[in-house]
Amino acid sequence: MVFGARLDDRVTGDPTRFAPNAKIVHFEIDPAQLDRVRACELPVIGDLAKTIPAFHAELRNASLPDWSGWRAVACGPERAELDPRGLAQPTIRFLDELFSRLPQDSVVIADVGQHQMWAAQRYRSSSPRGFITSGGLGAMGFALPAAVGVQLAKPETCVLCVSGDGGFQMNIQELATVHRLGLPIKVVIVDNKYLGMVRQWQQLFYARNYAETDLSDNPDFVEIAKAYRIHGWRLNEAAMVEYPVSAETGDLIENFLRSPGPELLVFDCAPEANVYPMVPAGAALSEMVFEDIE
Amino acid sequence: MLKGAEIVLRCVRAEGVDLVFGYPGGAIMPLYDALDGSGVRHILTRHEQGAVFAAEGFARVTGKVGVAMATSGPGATNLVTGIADAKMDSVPLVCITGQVRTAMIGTDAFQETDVFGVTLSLTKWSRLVRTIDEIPEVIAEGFHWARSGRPGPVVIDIPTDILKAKKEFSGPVKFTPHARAADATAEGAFSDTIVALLQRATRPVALVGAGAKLSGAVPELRRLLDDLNVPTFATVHGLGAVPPQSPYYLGMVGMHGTRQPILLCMRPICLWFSERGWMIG
Repeated sequence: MVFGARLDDRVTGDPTRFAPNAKIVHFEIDPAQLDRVRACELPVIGDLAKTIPAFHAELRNASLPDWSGWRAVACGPERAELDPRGLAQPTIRFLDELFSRLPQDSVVIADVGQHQMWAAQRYRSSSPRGFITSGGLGAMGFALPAAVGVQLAKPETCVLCVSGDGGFQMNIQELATVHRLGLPIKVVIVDNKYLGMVRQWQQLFYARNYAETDLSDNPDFVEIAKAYRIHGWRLNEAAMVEYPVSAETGDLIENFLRSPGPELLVFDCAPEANVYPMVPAGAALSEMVFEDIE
Repeated sequence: MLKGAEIVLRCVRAEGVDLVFGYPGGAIMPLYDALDGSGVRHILTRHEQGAVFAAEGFARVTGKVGVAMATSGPGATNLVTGIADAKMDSVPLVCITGQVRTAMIGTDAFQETDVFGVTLSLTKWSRLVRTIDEIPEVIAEGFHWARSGRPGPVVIDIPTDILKAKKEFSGPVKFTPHARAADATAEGAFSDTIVALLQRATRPVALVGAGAKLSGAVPELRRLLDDLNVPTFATVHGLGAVPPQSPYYLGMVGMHGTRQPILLCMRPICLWFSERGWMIG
Protein backbone atom coordinates (compact mmCIF):
# COMPACT_ATOMS: atom_id res chain seq x y z
CA MET A 1 0.00 0.00 0.00
CA VAL A 2 1.63 3.23 -1.14
CA PHE A 3 0.07 6.44 0.19
CA GLY A 4 0.99 9.53 -1.82
CA ALA A 5 4.58 8.63 -2.70
CA ARG A 6 5.82 8.75 -6.29
CA LEU A 7 8.02 5.63 -6.05
CA ASP A 8 10.97 7.37 -7.72
CA ASP A 9 14.41 5.84 -8.27
CA ARG A 10 15.76 6.99 -4.89
CA VAL A 11 13.03 4.99 -3.16
CA THR A 12 13.02 1.86 -5.32
CA GLY A 13 16.65 1.39 -6.35
CA ASP A 14 16.72 -0.94 -9.37
CA PRO A 15 13.00 -0.99 -10.21
CA THR A 16 13.10 -4.44 -11.77
CA ARG A 17 14.23 -5.80 -8.43
CA PHE A 18 12.01 -3.63 -6.22
CA ALA A 19 9.34 -5.68 -4.52
CA PRO A 20 9.20 -7.98 -7.56
CA ASN A 21 6.56 -10.26 -6.08
CA ALA A 22 4.48 -7.62 -4.36
CA LYS A 23 1.08 -6.44 -5.39
CA ILE A 24 1.20 -2.66 -5.13
CA VAL A 25 -1.84 -0.53 -4.30
CA HIS A 26 -0.93 3.03 -5.22
CA PHE A 27 -2.94 5.90 -3.68
CA GLU A 28 -2.02 8.87 -5.87
CA ILE A 29 -3.59 12.16 -6.94
CA ASP A 30 -1.67 12.51 -10.21
CA PRO A 31 -2.36 9.69 -12.66
CA ALA A 32 0.75 10.70 -14.63
CA GLN A 33 2.85 9.45 -11.71
CA LEU A 34 1.57 5.88 -11.91
CA ASP A 35 3.65 3.05 -13.35
CA ARG A 36 6.62 5.31 -14.13
CA VAL A 37 9.25 3.33 -12.30
CA ARG A 38 7.43 0.36 -10.83
CA ALA A 39 3.99 -0.50 -12.19
CA CYS A 40 1.27 -0.89 -9.60
CA GLU A 41 -1.33 -3.59 -9.59
CA LEU A 42 -4.10 -1.40 -8.24
CA PRO A 43 -4.16 2.40 -8.61
CA VAL A 44 -6.41 4.50 -6.37
CA ILE A 45 -6.62 7.86 -8.08
CA GLY A 46 -7.78 10.85 -6.10
CA ASP A 47 -7.19 13.20 -3.22
CA LEU A 48 -5.98 11.20 -0.22
CA ALA A 49 -8.28 13.28 1.97
CA LYS A 50 -11.13 11.49 0.18
CA THR A 51 -9.72 8.13 -0.79
CA ILE A 52 -8.26 7.23 2.61
CA PRO A 53 -11.48 7.77 4.62
CA ALA A 54 -13.51 5.97 1.93
CA PHE A 55 -11.15 2.99 2.06
CA HIS A 56 -11.03 3.08 5.85
CA ALA A 57 -14.82 3.08 6.13
CA GLU A 58 -15.11 -0.05 4.02
CA LEU A 59 -12.28 -1.70 5.83
CA ARG A 60 -14.20 -1.54 9.10
CA ASN A 61 -16.77 -3.98 7.72
CA ALA A 62 -14.18 -6.45 6.50
CA SER A 63 -12.41 -9.11 8.50
CA LEU A 64 -8.68 -9.11 7.85
CA PRO A 65 -6.19 -11.92 8.38
CA ASP A 66 -4.18 -12.15 11.57
CA TRP A 67 -0.86 -10.54 10.73
CA SER A 68 0.64 -10.70 14.21
CA GLY A 69 3.32 -13.20 13.15
CA TRP A 70 4.39 -10.99 10.29
CA ARG A 71 4.33 -7.94 12.56
CA ALA A 72 6.54 -9.66 15.07
CA VAL A 73 9.11 -10.45 12.38
CA ALA A 74 9.00 -7.05 10.69
CA CYS A 75 8.71 -4.75 13.71
CA GLY A 76 10.69 -6.96 16.01
CA PRO A 77 13.90 -6.38 17.88
CA GLU A 78 15.59 -3.88 15.61
CA ARG A 79 13.57 -0.77 14.84
CA ALA A 80 15.00 2.23 13.07
CA GLU A 81 15.94 4.34 16.09
CA LEU A 82 17.87 1.48 17.63
CA ASP A 83 20.38 1.32 14.78
CA PRO A 84 23.67 1.22 16.72
CA ARG A 85 25.91 1.62 13.68
CA GLY A 86 24.33 4.96 12.89
CA LEU A 87 24.80 6.27 16.39
CA ALA A 88 28.51 5.57 16.35
CA GLN A 89 28.94 8.51 13.98
CA PRO A 90 29.66 11.84 15.73
CA THR A 91 27.65 14.01 13.30
CA ILE A 92 24.64 11.77 13.80
CA ARG A 93 25.13 11.97 17.56
CA PHE A 94 25.30 15.73 17.25
CA LEU A 95 22.09 15.87 15.21
CA ASP A 96 20.39 13.55 17.73
CA GLU A 97 21.54 15.87 20.53
CA LEU A 98 20.28 18.91 18.62
CA PHE A 99 16.95 17.38 17.60
CA SER A 100 16.28 16.05 21.11
CA ARG A 101 16.57 19.59 22.47
CA LEU A 102 14.28 21.20 19.88
CA PRO A 103 10.96 22.51 21.13
CA GLN A 104 7.93 20.62 19.86
CA ASP A 105 6.67 21.70 16.44
CA SER A 106 10.05 23.04 15.43
CA VAL A 107 10.79 23.03 11.72
CA VAL A 108 14.00 21.50 10.41
CA ILE A 109 15.16 22.56 6.94
CA ALA A 110 17.94 20.48 5.43
CA ASP A 111 20.06 21.41 2.44
CA VAL A 112 21.35 18.78 0.02
CA GLY A 113 24.07 16.24 0.69
CA GLN A 114 25.34 14.02 3.49
CA HIS A 115 24.05 16.25 6.29
CA GLN A 116 20.60 16.08 4.65
CA MET A 117 20.51 12.30 4.81
CA TRP A 118 21.90 12.21 8.34
CA ALA A 119 19.23 14.71 9.36
CA ALA A 120 16.49 12.72 7.62
CA GLN A 121 17.72 9.52 9.27
CA ARG A 122 17.63 11.07 12.74
CA TYR A 123 14.50 13.24 12.40
CA ARG A 124 12.17 12.09 15.15
CA SER A 125 9.23 14.46 15.16
CA SER A 126 5.65 13.72 14.19
CA SER A 127 5.05 17.22 12.89
CA PRO A 128 3.80 16.71 9.31
CA ARG A 129 5.33 19.88 7.88
CA GLY A 130 8.29 19.81 10.22
CA PHE A 131 10.98 18.47 7.90
CA ILE A 132 11.59 20.45 4.73
CA THR A 133 14.14 19.65 2.07
CA SER A 134 14.77 19.70 -1.66
CA GLY A 135 14.08 16.02 -2.23
CA GLY A 136 13.28 15.46 -5.86
CA LEU A 137 15.60 18.01 -7.43
CA GLY A 138 18.35 18.00 -4.82
CA ALA A 139 19.12 21.69 -5.26
CA MET A 140 22.10 22.74 -3.13
CA GLY A 141 21.63 26.17 -1.59
CA PHE A 142 17.98 25.47 -0.77
CA ALA A 143 18.07 25.46 3.01
CA LEU A 144 19.02 28.98 4.08
CA PRO A 145 16.54 30.87 1.87
CA ALA A 146 13.85 28.24 2.53
CA ALA A 147 14.40 28.80 6.26
CA VAL A 148 13.79 32.52 5.68
CA GLY A 149 10.40 31.68 4.16
CA VAL A 150 9.57 29.24 6.95
CA GLN A 151 10.50 31.66 9.73
CA LEU A 152 8.43 34.47 8.16
CA ALA A 153 5.47 32.11 7.92
CA LYS A 154 5.99 30.89 11.51
CA PRO A 155 7.52 33.76 13.50
CA GLU A 156 7.06 31.99 16.86
CA THR A 157 8.46 28.64 15.75
CA CYS A 158 11.99 27.39 16.27
CA VAL A 159 13.47 27.08 12.76
CA LEU A 160 16.63 24.99 12.41
CA CYS A 161 18.50 25.16 9.11
CA VAL A 162 20.99 22.32 8.62
CA SER A 163 23.36 22.87 5.73
CA GLY A 164 26.70 21.64 4.45
CA ASP A 165 29.73 23.76 3.72
CA GLY A 166 29.15 23.42 -0.04
CA GLY A 167 25.43 24.16 -0.19
CA PHE A 168 25.67 26.95 2.37
CA GLN A 169 27.99 28.88 0.07
CA MET A 170 25.51 28.62 -2.80
CA ASN A 171 23.11 31.08 -1.15
CA ILE A 172 25.35 32.52 1.55
CA GLN A 173 24.16 36.02 0.61
CA GLU A 174 20.83 35.37 2.31
CA LEU A 175 22.54 35.91 5.66
CA ALA A 176 21.94 39.56 4.79
CA THR A 177 18.20 38.89 4.57
CA VAL A 178 18.29 37.02 7.90
CA HIS A 179 20.12 39.95 9.49
CA ARG A 180 17.89 42.68 8.09
CA LEU A 181 14.70 40.95 9.21
CA GLY A 182 16.23 39.79 12.50
CA LEU A 183 14.92 36.28 11.85
CA PRO A 184 15.85 33.99 14.78
CA ILE A 185 16.90 31.15 12.45
CA LYS A 186 19.40 28.68 13.85
CA VAL A 187 21.84 27.73 11.12
CA VAL A 188 24.06 24.67 11.45
CA ILE A 189 26.84 24.10 8.94
CA VAL A 190 28.13 20.54 8.98
CA ASP A 191 31.61 21.40 7.73
CA ASN A 192 33.59 18.44 6.43
CA LYS A 193 35.52 20.61 3.98
CA TYR A 194 34.40 18.50 1.05
CA LEU A 195 31.42 18.21 -1.26
CA GLY A 196 30.84 15.22 0.95
CA MET A 197 28.19 13.22 -0.86
CA VAL A 198 30.03 13.43 -4.18
CA ARG A 199 33.28 12.64 -2.35
CA GLN A 200 31.64 9.60 -0.79
CA TRP A 201 30.69 8.35 -4.27
CA GLN A 202 34.20 9.08 -5.51
CA GLN A 203 35.54 7.05 -2.62
CA LEU A 204 33.22 4.12 -3.20
CA PHE A 205 32.86 4.06 -6.99
CA TYR A 206 35.71 6.14 -8.46
CA ALA A 207 38.76 4.74 -6.66
CA ARG A 208 39.09 7.71 -4.28
CA ASN A 209 39.74 10.15 -7.11
CA TYR A 210 38.49 13.24 -5.24
CA ALA A 211 38.27 15.35 -8.38
CA GLU A 212 37.21 18.93 -7.53
CA THR A 213 35.37 18.04 -4.35
CA ASP A 214 38.07 19.34 -2.00
CA LEU A 215 36.95 22.41 -0.03
CA SER A 216 39.78 22.28 2.51
CA ASP A 217 40.44 26.02 2.14
CA ASN A 218 36.89 26.95 3.12
CA PRO A 219 36.46 30.39 4.64
CA ASP A 220 35.94 30.70 8.38
CA PHE A 221 32.15 30.61 8.53
CA VAL A 222 32.07 32.08 12.03
CA GLU A 223 33.93 35.12 10.71
CA ILE A 224 31.58 35.25 7.71
CA ALA A 225 28.61 35.25 10.08
CA LYS A 226 30.24 38.02 12.09
CA ALA A 227 30.64 40.10 8.93
CA TYR A 228 26.88 39.78 8.43
CA ARG A 229 26.47 40.78 12.12
CA ILE A 230 25.25 37.31 13.06
CA HIS A 231 26.67 35.54 16.09
CA GLY A 232 28.65 32.39 15.38
CA TRP A 233 29.64 29.26 17.31
CA ARG A 234 32.02 26.44 16.64
CA LEU A 235 31.83 22.85 17.81
CA ASN A 236 34.27 20.10 16.95
CA GLU A 237 33.02 16.57 16.53
CA ALA A 238 35.48 15.51 19.24
CA ALA A 239 32.92 17.00 21.66
CA MET A 240 30.52 14.23 20.68
CA VAL A 241 32.77 11.37 21.81
CA GLU A 242 31.52 11.70 25.37
CA TYR A 243 28.06 10.27 25.97
CA PRO A 244 26.12 11.87 27.44
CA VAL A 245 27.80 15.05 26.21
CA SER A 246 29.68 17.25 28.67
CA ALA A 247 27.82 20.03 30.44
CA GLU A 248 29.85 22.52 28.42
CA THR A 249 28.76 21.04 25.07
CA GLY A 250 25.20 20.70 26.29
CA ASP A 251 25.16 24.36 27.34
CA LEU A 252 26.59 25.45 24.02
CA ILE A 253 23.88 23.61 22.09
CA GLU A 254 21.21 24.85 24.48
CA ASN A 255 22.36 28.49 24.24
CA PHE A 256 22.57 28.21 20.46
CA LEU A 257 18.98 26.95 20.23
CA ARG A 258 17.45 29.25 22.88
CA SER A 259 18.98 32.50 21.64
CA PRO A 260 16.31 35.04 20.66
CA GLY A 261 18.23 36.06 17.53
CA PRO A 262 19.81 34.47 14.49
CA GLU A 263 22.70 32.13 15.26
CA LEU A 264 25.15 30.17 13.16
CA LEU A 265 26.97 27.07 14.40
CA VAL A 266 29.83 25.44 12.52
CA PHE A 267 30.13 21.74 13.31
CA ASP A 268 33.56 20.48 12.29
CA CYS A 269 33.00 17.01 10.93
CA ALA A 270 35.53 14.36 9.90
CA PRO A 271 36.38 14.95 6.22
CA GLU A 272 35.73 11.37 5.18
CA ALA A 273 32.63 10.53 7.18
CA ASN A 274 30.14 8.59 5.08
CA VAL A 275 26.38 8.19 5.05
CA TYR A 276 25.24 4.65 5.73
CA PRO A 277 23.23 2.67 5.03
CA MET A 278 23.49 3.32 1.31
CA VAL A 279 22.11 1.64 -1.76
CA PRO A 280 24.44 2.30 -4.73
CA ALA A 281 22.64 4.01 -7.62
CA GLY A 282 20.98 1.48 -9.89
CA ALA A 283 21.52 -1.37 -7.44
CA ALA A 284 18.73 -3.33 -5.85
CA LEU A 285 17.70 -2.40 -2.32
CA SER A 286 19.01 -5.76 -1.15
CA GLU A 287 22.53 -4.64 -2.17
CA MET A 288 22.56 -2.05 0.58
CA VAL A 289 25.98 -1.09 1.94
CA PHE A 290 26.31 -0.67 5.70
CA GLU A 291 29.89 0.41 6.28
CA ASP A 292 33.19 1.34 4.66
CA ILE A 293 34.67 -1.51 2.67
CA GLU A 294 38.29 -1.05 1.74
CA MET B 1 -8.26 53.82 -13.54
CA LEU B 2 -5.58 51.51 -12.17
CA LYS B 3 -2.18 50.58 -13.54
CA GLY B 4 -1.57 47.00 -14.62
CA ALA B 5 0.87 46.64 -11.72
CA GLU B 6 -1.80 47.73 -9.21
CA ILE B 7 -4.28 45.28 -10.76
CA VAL B 8 -1.72 42.48 -10.43
CA LEU B 9 -1.18 43.25 -6.75
CA ARG B 10 -4.92 43.55 -6.01
CA CYS B 11 -5.55 40.20 -7.68
CA VAL B 12 -2.64 38.59 -5.84
CA ARG B 13 -3.95 40.05 -2.57
CA ALA B 14 -7.39 38.61 -3.38
CA GLU B 15 -5.78 35.17 -3.55
CA GLY B 16 -4.94 35.54 0.13
CA VAL B 17 -1.32 36.56 -0.40
CA ASP B 18 0.20 39.09 1.98
CA LEU B 19 3.85 38.05 1.68
CA VAL B 20 6.01 37.82 -1.44
CA PHE B 21 9.73 37.32 -1.99
CA GLY B 22 11.72 38.94 -4.76
CA TYR B 23 14.43 41.06 -6.25
CA PRO B 24 13.79 44.22 -8.29
CA GLY B 25 15.05 45.12 -11.74
CA GLY B 26 14.21 47.07 -14.88
CA ALA B 27 11.20 45.34 -16.39
CA ILE B 28 9.50 44.59 -13.04
CA MET B 29 9.96 48.14 -11.66
CA PRO B 30 6.33 49.18 -12.16
CA LEU B 31 5.26 46.32 -9.88
CA TYR B 32 7.77 47.40 -7.21
CA ASP B 33 6.56 50.99 -7.59
CA ALA B 34 3.04 49.82 -6.74
CA LEU B 35 3.98 47.74 -3.65
CA ASP B 36 3.50 50.54 -1.11
CA GLY B 37 -0.03 50.45 0.25
CA SER B 38 -0.92 47.29 -1.67
CA GLY B 39 -1.25 45.19 1.48
CA VAL B 40 1.43 42.88 0.11
CA ARG B 41 4.64 42.71 2.12
CA HIS B 42 7.75 42.21 0.03
CA ILE B 43 10.87 40.49 1.35
CA LEU B 44 14.06 41.46 -0.42
CA THR B 45 16.40 38.51 -0.75
CA ARG B 46 19.92 38.97 -2.10
CA HIS B 47 19.52 36.72 -5.15
CA GLU B 48 16.45 35.57 -7.08
CA GLN B 49 17.22 31.93 -6.21
CA GLY B 50 17.00 33.00 -2.56
CA ALA B 51 13.57 34.51 -3.30
CA VAL B 52 12.15 31.43 -4.95
CA PHE B 53 13.52 29.07 -2.28
CA ALA B 54 12.15 31.35 0.46
CA ALA B 55 8.75 31.30 -1.27
CA GLU B 56 9.02 27.52 -1.35
CA GLY B 57 9.90 27.40 2.34
CA PHE B 58 6.82 29.50 3.10
CA ALA B 59 4.66 27.26 0.90
CA ARG B 60 6.05 23.98 2.23
CA VAL B 61 5.48 24.88 5.87
CA THR B 62 2.05 26.52 5.46
CA GLY B 63 0.56 24.64 2.50
CA LYS B 64 -0.36 28.03 1.00
CA VAL B 65 0.89 29.33 -2.34
CA GLY B 66 4.38 30.87 -2.19
CA VAL B 67 5.00 33.88 -4.43
CA ALA B 68 8.33 34.98 -5.93
CA MET B 69 8.95 38.04 -8.10
CA ALA B 70 11.85 38.82 -10.40
CA THR B 71 12.71 40.96 -13.36
CA SER B 72 13.17 39.80 -16.95
CA GLY B 73 16.26 38.05 -18.31
CA PRO B 74 18.77 37.17 -15.57
CA GLY B 75 16.21 37.76 -12.82
CA ALA B 76 13.85 35.23 -14.35
CA THR B 77 16.51 32.66 -15.25
CA ASN B 78 17.74 32.80 -11.65
CA LEU B 79 14.29 31.50 -10.63
CA VAL B 80 14.51 28.41 -12.80
CA THR B 81 16.12 26.08 -10.23
CA GLY B 82 13.39 26.89 -7.70
CA ILE B 83 10.69 26.31 -10.30
CA ALA B 84 12.13 22.88 -11.10
CA ASP B 85 12.36 22.19 -7.36
CA ALA B 86 8.70 23.06 -6.82
CA LYS B 87 7.70 20.78 -9.70
CA MET B 88 9.60 17.81 -8.30
CA ASP B 89 8.30 18.17 -4.74
CA SER B 90 4.75 19.36 -5.58
CA VAL B 91 5.07 22.79 -3.97
CA PRO B 92 2.41 25.43 -4.75
CA LEU B 93 4.38 28.35 -6.21
CA VAL B 94 3.54 31.37 -8.36
CA CYS B 95 6.44 33.24 -9.99
CA ILE B 96 5.69 36.66 -11.40
CA THR B 97 8.34 37.91 -13.79
CA GLY B 98 8.72 41.19 -15.60
CA GLN B 99 9.23 40.98 -19.36
CA VAL B 100 10.52 43.53 -21.87
CA ARG B 101 7.80 45.67 -23.37
CA THR B 102 5.51 43.92 -25.82
CA ALA B 103 6.87 45.70 -28.91
CA MET B 104 10.43 44.58 -28.12
CA ILE B 105 9.67 40.86 -27.53
CA GLY B 106 11.72 38.76 -29.94
CA THR B 107 14.28 41.47 -30.71
CA ASP B 108 16.96 40.33 -28.24
CA ALA B 109 16.16 43.44 -26.26
CA PHE B 110 18.14 44.32 -23.11
CA GLN B 111 17.50 41.66 -20.43
CA GLU B 112 15.14 39.75 -22.71
CA THR B 113 14.73 36.00 -22.20
CA ASP B 114 11.89 33.80 -23.39
CA VAL B 115 10.91 32.90 -19.82
CA PHE B 116 7.68 31.24 -20.90
CA GLY B 117 9.67 28.98 -23.23
CA VAL B 118 12.51 28.36 -20.78
CA THR B 119 10.16 27.28 -18.00
CA LEU B 120 7.56 25.49 -20.13
CA SER B 121 8.70 21.99 -19.26
CA LEU B 122 9.15 22.89 -15.58
CA THR B 123 5.82 24.51 -14.82
CA LYS B 124 2.42 23.08 -14.13
CA TRP B 125 0.90 26.08 -15.91
CA SER B 126 2.36 29.28 -17.35
CA ARG B 127 1.29 32.33 -19.30
CA LEU B 128 2.78 35.34 -21.04
CA VAL B 129 0.30 38.14 -20.38
CA ARG B 130 -0.61 39.83 -23.65
CA THR B 131 -3.14 42.50 -22.64
CA ILE B 132 -3.95 44.41 -19.47
CA ASP B 133 -7.51 43.08 -19.74
CA GLU B 134 -6.54 39.48 -19.08
CA ILE B 135 -4.54 40.15 -15.87
CA PRO B 136 -7.34 39.21 -13.41
CA GLU B 137 -8.19 35.96 -15.23
CA VAL B 138 -4.55 34.97 -15.61
CA ILE B 139 -3.74 35.58 -11.93
CA ALA B 140 -6.86 33.72 -10.76
CA GLU B 141 -6.20 30.77 -13.04
CA GLY B 142 -2.48 30.68 -12.15
CA PHE B 143 -3.18 30.49 -8.41
CA HIS B 144 -5.84 27.87 -9.03
CA TRP B 145 -3.45 25.54 -10.81
CA ALA B 146 -0.63 26.17 -8.36
CA ARG B 147 -2.69 24.93 -5.40
CA SER B 148 -5.19 22.52 -6.93
CA GLY B 149 -4.81 18.76 -7.23
CA ARG B 150 -1.13 17.93 -7.17
CA PRO B 151 0.34 21.36 -6.33
CA GLY B 152 3.08 22.80 -8.51
CA PRO B 153 4.81 25.85 -9.98
CA VAL B 154 3.19 28.50 -12.15
CA VAL B 155 4.94 31.27 -14.10
CA ILE B 156 3.19 34.50 -15.04
CA ASP B 157 5.36 36.66 -17.31
CA ILE B 158 4.17 40.27 -17.69
CA PRO B 159 5.66 42.76 -20.16
CA THR B 160 6.57 46.05 -18.56
CA ASP B 161 4.27 48.14 -20.80
CA ILE B 162 1.29 46.09 -19.58
CA LEU B 163 2.33 46.76 -15.96
CA LYS B 164 2.40 50.48 -16.75
CA ALA B 165 -0.83 50.66 -18.82
CA LYS B 166 -4.05 51.85 -17.17
CA LYS B 167 -7.53 50.42 -17.14
CA GLU B 168 -10.83 50.55 -15.28
CA PHE B 169 -10.64 47.73 -12.76
CA SER B 170 -13.83 46.01 -11.72
CA GLY B 171 -12.22 43.75 -9.12
CA PRO B 172 -10.53 40.37 -8.94
CA VAL B 173 -12.22 37.40 -10.56
CA LYS B 174 -12.63 33.79 -9.51
CA PHE B 175 -11.42 30.98 -11.72
CA THR B 176 -13.90 28.17 -12.29
CA PRO B 177 -12.38 25.09 -13.84
CA HIS B 178 -14.37 23.12 -16.38
CA ALA B 179 -16.88 20.88 -14.66
CA ARG B 180 -15.86 17.25 -14.71
CA ALA B 181 -17.14 14.02 -13.31
CA ALA B 182 -16.53 13.65 -9.59
CA ASP B 183 -13.51 11.57 -8.60
CA ALA B 184 -15.28 8.28 -9.19
CA THR B 185 -12.44 6.35 -7.60
CA ALA B 186 -12.52 8.51 -4.48
CA GLU B 187 -16.08 7.48 -3.75
CA GLY B 188 -15.62 4.03 -5.23
CA ALA B 189 -15.90 0.72 -3.54
CA PHE B 190 -12.82 -0.85 -2.02
CA SER B 191 -14.34 -4.17 -0.93
CA ASP B 192 -13.63 -5.92 -4.22
CA THR B 193 -10.21 -4.40 -4.66
CA ILE B 194 -7.87 -3.41 -1.83
CA VAL B 195 -9.79 -5.12 0.92
CA ALA B 196 -9.82 -8.30 -1.13
CA LEU B 197 -6.09 -7.98 -1.77
CA LEU B 198 -5.43 -7.42 1.92
CA GLN B 199 -7.49 -10.42 2.88
CA ARG B 200 -5.14 -12.54 0.79
CA ALA B 201 -1.99 -10.72 1.93
CA THR B 202 0.46 -12.49 4.19
CA ARG B 203 3.06 -9.73 4.59
CA PRO B 204 1.42 -6.36 3.96
CA VAL B 205 3.44 -3.15 4.28
CA ALA B 206 2.59 0.55 3.90
CA LEU B 207 4.81 3.23 2.34
CA VAL B 208 3.90 6.84 3.12
CA GLY B 209 4.98 9.80 0.98
CA ALA B 210 4.14 13.48 0.91
CA GLY B 211 0.65 12.96 -0.51
CA ALA B 212 -1.20 12.79 2.80
CA LYS B 213 0.42 16.03 3.96
CA LEU B 214 -0.42 17.77 0.70
CA SER B 215 -4.02 16.60 0.95
CA GLY B 216 -4.35 17.52 4.61
CA ALA B 217 -5.19 13.86 5.20
CA VAL B 218 -2.62 13.15 7.93
CA PRO B 219 -5.21 12.49 10.71
CA GLU B 220 -7.18 10.19 8.39
CA LEU B 221 -3.99 8.40 7.38
CA ARG B 222 -2.90 7.95 10.99
CA ARG B 223 -6.29 6.54 11.95
CA LEU B 224 -6.14 4.14 9.02
CA LEU B 225 -2.60 3.02 9.81
CA ASP B 226 -3.44 2.58 13.50
CA ASP B 227 -6.27 0.26 12.51
CA LEU B 228 -4.28 -1.55 9.83
CA ASN B 229 -1.29 -1.96 12.14
CA VAL B 230 1.00 -3.19 9.38
CA PRO B 231 4.75 -2.49 9.05
CA THR B 232 4.96 1.07 7.74
CA PHE B 233 7.75 3.26 6.43
CA ALA B 234 8.08 6.70 4.89
CA THR B 235 9.91 8.47 2.10
CA VAL B 236 11.98 11.54 2.97
CA HIS B 237 8.95 13.74 2.24
CA GLY B 238 6.73 11.39 4.22
CA LEU B 239 8.73 12.02 7.43
CA GLY B 240 6.43 13.33 10.14
CA ALA B 241 3.24 11.93 8.61
CA VAL B 242 3.48 8.83 10.80
CA PRO B 243 4.42 9.35 14.46
CA PRO B 244 7.84 7.68 14.84
CA GLN B 245 6.80 6.13 18.15
CA SER B 246 4.07 4.08 16.43
CA PRO B 247 4.96 0.43 17.06
CA TYR B 248 4.57 -0.45 13.38
CA TYR B 249 6.75 2.41 12.09
CA LEU B 250 10.13 1.40 10.67
CA GLY B 251 11.67 4.66 9.49
CA MET B 252 12.75 5.97 6.13
CA VAL B 253 12.98 3.93 2.95
CA GLY B 254 15.36 4.41 0.04
CA MET B 255 18.98 5.02 -0.85
CA HIS B 256 19.93 6.09 2.67
CA GLY B 257 16.98 4.60 4.46
CA THR B 258 16.96 2.21 7.36
CA ARG B 259 17.42 -1.45 6.66
CA GLN B 260 14.08 -2.91 7.67
CA PRO B 261 11.83 -1.22 5.09
CA ILE B 262 14.26 -2.04 2.38
CA LEU B 263 14.43 -5.70 3.17
CA LEU B 264 10.69 -5.93 3.67
CA CYS B 265 10.26 -4.64 0.11
CA MET B 266 12.14 -7.58 -1.30
CA ARG B 267 10.96 -11.13 -1.33
CA PRO B 268 13.21 -12.82 1.16
CA ILE B 269 13.49 -16.54 0.94
CA CYS B 270 14.18 -16.44 4.61
CA LEU B 271 14.90 -13.65 7.04
CA TRP B 272 17.26 -14.00 9.92
CA PHE B 273 18.51 -11.61 12.49
CA SER B 274 22.14 -11.20 13.46
CA GLU B 275 24.23 -8.51 15.08
CA ARG B 276 24.50 -6.95 11.61
CA GLY B 277 20.75 -6.65 11.27
CA TRP B 278 18.36 -8.26 8.87
CA MET B 279 19.94 -10.52 6.33
CA ILE B 280 18.47 -12.14 3.29
CA GLY B 281 19.13 -15.79 2.79
